Amino acid sequence: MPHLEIRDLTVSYEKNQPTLEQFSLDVEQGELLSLLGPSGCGKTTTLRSVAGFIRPDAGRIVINGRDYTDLPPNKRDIGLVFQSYALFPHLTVFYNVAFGLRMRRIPKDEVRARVTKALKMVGLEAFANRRPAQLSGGQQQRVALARATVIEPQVLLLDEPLSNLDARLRVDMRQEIRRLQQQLGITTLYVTHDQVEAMSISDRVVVMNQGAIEQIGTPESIFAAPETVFVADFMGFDNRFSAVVESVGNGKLRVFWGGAPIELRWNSKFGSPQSGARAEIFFRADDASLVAGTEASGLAGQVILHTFHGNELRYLVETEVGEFSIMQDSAGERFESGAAVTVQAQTQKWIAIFEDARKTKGKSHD
Amino acid sequence: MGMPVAYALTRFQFAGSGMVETVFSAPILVPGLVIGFAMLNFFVLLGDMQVMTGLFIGHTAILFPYSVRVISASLRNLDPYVEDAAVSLGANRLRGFVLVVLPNMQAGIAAAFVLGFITSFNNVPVSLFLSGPGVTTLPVSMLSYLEYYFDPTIAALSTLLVIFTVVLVQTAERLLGLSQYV
Repeated sequence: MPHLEIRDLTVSYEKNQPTLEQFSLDVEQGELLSLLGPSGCGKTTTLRSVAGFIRPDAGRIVINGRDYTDLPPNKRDIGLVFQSYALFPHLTVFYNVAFGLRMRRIPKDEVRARVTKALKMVGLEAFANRRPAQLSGGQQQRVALARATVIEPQVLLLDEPLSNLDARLRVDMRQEIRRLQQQLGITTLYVTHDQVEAMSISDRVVVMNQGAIEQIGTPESIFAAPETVFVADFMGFDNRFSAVVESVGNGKLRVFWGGAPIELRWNSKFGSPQSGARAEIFFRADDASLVAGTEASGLAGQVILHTFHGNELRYLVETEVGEFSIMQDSAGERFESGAAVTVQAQTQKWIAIFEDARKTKGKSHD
Repeated sequence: MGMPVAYALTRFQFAGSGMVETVFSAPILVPGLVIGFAMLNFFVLLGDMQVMTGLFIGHTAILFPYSVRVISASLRNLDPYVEDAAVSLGANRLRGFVLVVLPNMQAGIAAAFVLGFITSFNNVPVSLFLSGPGVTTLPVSMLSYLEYYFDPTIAALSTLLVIFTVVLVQTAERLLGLSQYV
């Protein structure tokens, strides 16, 4: 049985414009599940519904077999970490962390022991008597983590906890959150709009769009095999073009690429489209290469622009099917703007998507 | 008294919240003489009110915008999510407010008090209309004294008042950082 169950949750801020519609999700005991999506996709609404700050119009929230739907937020036993940390500025670190225990009328000695232990876990035992304003952003977020976990909540909810930190600190804190979460074995919902963050920290990722789930899976499966155009865009597939399907079969799909057929992986669970149907093909900038001239087999094009990225050069190449962004080793052959090149496909990681193969998800809200 | 209004104005965007804000700052914008005369008409001539009561209400009205503004400023400095944090940790809404929001409003409330005291104490136009036999304010009696006598008493008293105000504001500034709210 899942530890946290969200069943058919519907939330609307305005009439007939549900932010979430019939949203269902299971989170297993001890699992870290990320809700990933652009702003306005309903991920924070989901989180705040679980925390009890939003009353859903319909649906149920069940934690550990108990129905939480009608429980007020202060009775829910949920740890919450905010993007802005939301520490209490007038209290010291110690009393910030102790707040939840004091609300539960835990004896003083036990409060002291548990707060000290929680602060030790986040490496801040030396800062117990400081005020939040005297700490750095990373330290403040650690206090917030200690404050949310010291009450040993049923579920830990994190709402974009790293957005206010700089890039390097974010990577450190990511690992810290993951380590703490695994040590405590706490069921966790993690909201973020950053796909790298979601990939690196999660057991499973839920990609959300317009109040509905686009895809659920392990970080690896979502990264390698997006099932919808939206997920492919969001997962950093730099290049996209439409192609007419030549044939389908044996887990392969054939399309034409500059006059010659190429074969892409095709998972038959998404149906077997007829030849002649239009597919959306996606590939990342790393999964194609350039050769000089137009004699080689592949798609002919012309270099429009190149930018330098350390070990790699990124070329923008114009072809008859569209503009593609392609990464090349900067130690290899260089192409100037205007040079005629051939784009060669390395199709192992390319994906094809038929929007008709899956029912188009989400209704347009705008 | 400015507290609930300030709280409502900073925490909720409700229909007409802009208008409420304007209404509460009106006493700053409308000339004191106009307010004083309007209040004289309303309280004393129409309402047949005690002089002391009228004076009290009049001063409350002119101080209101100051306290609303100053307390709003102190609330805007506070992360709105601290209340949610308190609630998620097991406090009900009221306890969350008392334990988390109120302590962080203290400086603002104190600043509003000091500012209000000075404004009220130094106000002439409204007091002029609302004071009456036996009940008056210091600046008003100074003004009338000046109309009949011309001696250094007023100058001396004025000097004392200036010093008093400066000391009060300086102390408040030191203790509370008044300037960040005004």
